[in-house]
Parts: sequence; C-alpha cells; structure tokens
Amino acid sequence: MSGVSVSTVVELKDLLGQSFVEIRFAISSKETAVASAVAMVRSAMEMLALDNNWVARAELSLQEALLNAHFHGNESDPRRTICVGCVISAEKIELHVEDEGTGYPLNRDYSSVDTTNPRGRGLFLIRQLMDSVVIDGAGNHIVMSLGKESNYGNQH
Amino acid sequence: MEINIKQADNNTTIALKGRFDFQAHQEFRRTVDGLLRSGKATLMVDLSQVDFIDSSALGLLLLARESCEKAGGEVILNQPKDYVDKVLRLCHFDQLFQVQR
Repeated sequence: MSGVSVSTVVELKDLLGQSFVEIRFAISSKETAVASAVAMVRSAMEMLALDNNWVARAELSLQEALLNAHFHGNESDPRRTICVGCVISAEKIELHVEDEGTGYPLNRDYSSVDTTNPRGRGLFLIRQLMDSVVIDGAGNHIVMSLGKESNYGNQH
Repeated sequence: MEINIKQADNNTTIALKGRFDFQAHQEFRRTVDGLLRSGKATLMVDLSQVDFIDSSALGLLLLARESCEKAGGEVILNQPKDYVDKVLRLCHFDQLFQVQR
C-alpha cells in the first residue's frame, strides 16, 4: 500500500479466549497514504465480522483523525509521518493517531460546531461518533475508543 | 467515487456513488462549478448510492449550497442511506438543506 509502513499486525487472544487484532504502522503524510491506512484498518475490522454501523463510525473517526494529522499537524509535509495504532475486538475498538505537529489547540471548544463553516468539523464528528476521545498533553496524539453498545453523541 | 449528471425536465441531479470524501474534492467542485456556469442554480445531490461521507464532503456540500444560493437556487440532498443520514443529522445538515428521504 502506498506510503504505509506496517510494523505490527498480530491476532491475539485475551484471557477469556476472545480474539482481538492489534495493528501498528506509520504512514507518510500524504492523502494517498491516509486512504490506504483507512482501507487497511477497515479490512481488519471486516475480518472480525464486526457490525457494519460500528465499523463505519470507527472508520470515519480514524479518517478524520488522520486528515487532521496530515493537514494540520504535519502541515501536509510528506517528509513527516503519522503513527497509527489500533486494537480491535468484538467488544471494543481503540484507535491511536499521532503526528509530528504541535498539537490540537486544547483551549478550543470541540463540543459544538459552526454549522455553516465548511471547515473545522473533524474533531466534532469524532466526539459525536466515539465513546471516549483523549488528546494527550502535547496535543499531537489522539486516542479514540468505541464500545460495542454505545450510542451516538456521547462526547458532549 | 463516481459522479453522474442526470437531467429530467428542469431538474439537474448529481448522482454520487461510493465514498464521498476528501478524495472527491476536485471532481465534485468541478462538476458543481460547470453546472452553475451552464445556468443551473438548483442542484439535487443524489446520495442513495453513497456508502461513506466525511467532513471534507460535508464542507463541499456547504460550498455548493453557498454558490447555488448566490445564483438564486439551492442544493437538495436526496435519499441518503441510513448511516450517511446519521452523519448529516449530527452536523445539523437537515436544518441547512432540504433533505428528501
């Protein structure tokens, strides 16, 4: 896949014998690599036969986080990389995206959206779609998780 | 993503198929701009075969709406699938656009 360097793909079983897949990889900061990364993670989720609606929510959140990392974090510089980590099971999806930028402006309110502005909707959507969204201290690492039974809009 | 333009009576429909996301940016803008230049001010966007939509595509719809309104028309969204419709509602697009379900 274009611009994707996969370091780890493992299928494991937890103590209860349930399968989960862990994937870690880095991509160069390019739109084509973002598309390839999303396709690869979607394939992994489909491999575990997860519910379509659940997969779609995680897929959109991953794509939004990667596009933020590419355009805003890495300022579209193809020499920079984006690191991605995913732990996917039938009960929970956890996604990590880290770029080389200076981070999300943490003082901004991401719980609402300027309805008519064509931009600035990515993190708002992620917060609506995922159960938990954590941005680390430096602001350039986002951790998103989604449980099986969650509803939309939990992150108000 | 595939884009097809359909004309019926006085209605112009942009029929989209597949993933409507950041990769569709140029083609969608070009299509809308071309239709506006040819005098079409109201555009129906058929979403019935769109499986995935992201924030870039939502931005494209807002830009199209702005351009069509300047030309005296509007953008109408037609038959979004369940998941796409959920994303539209989350972003309050049902308050900005006429959505035909």
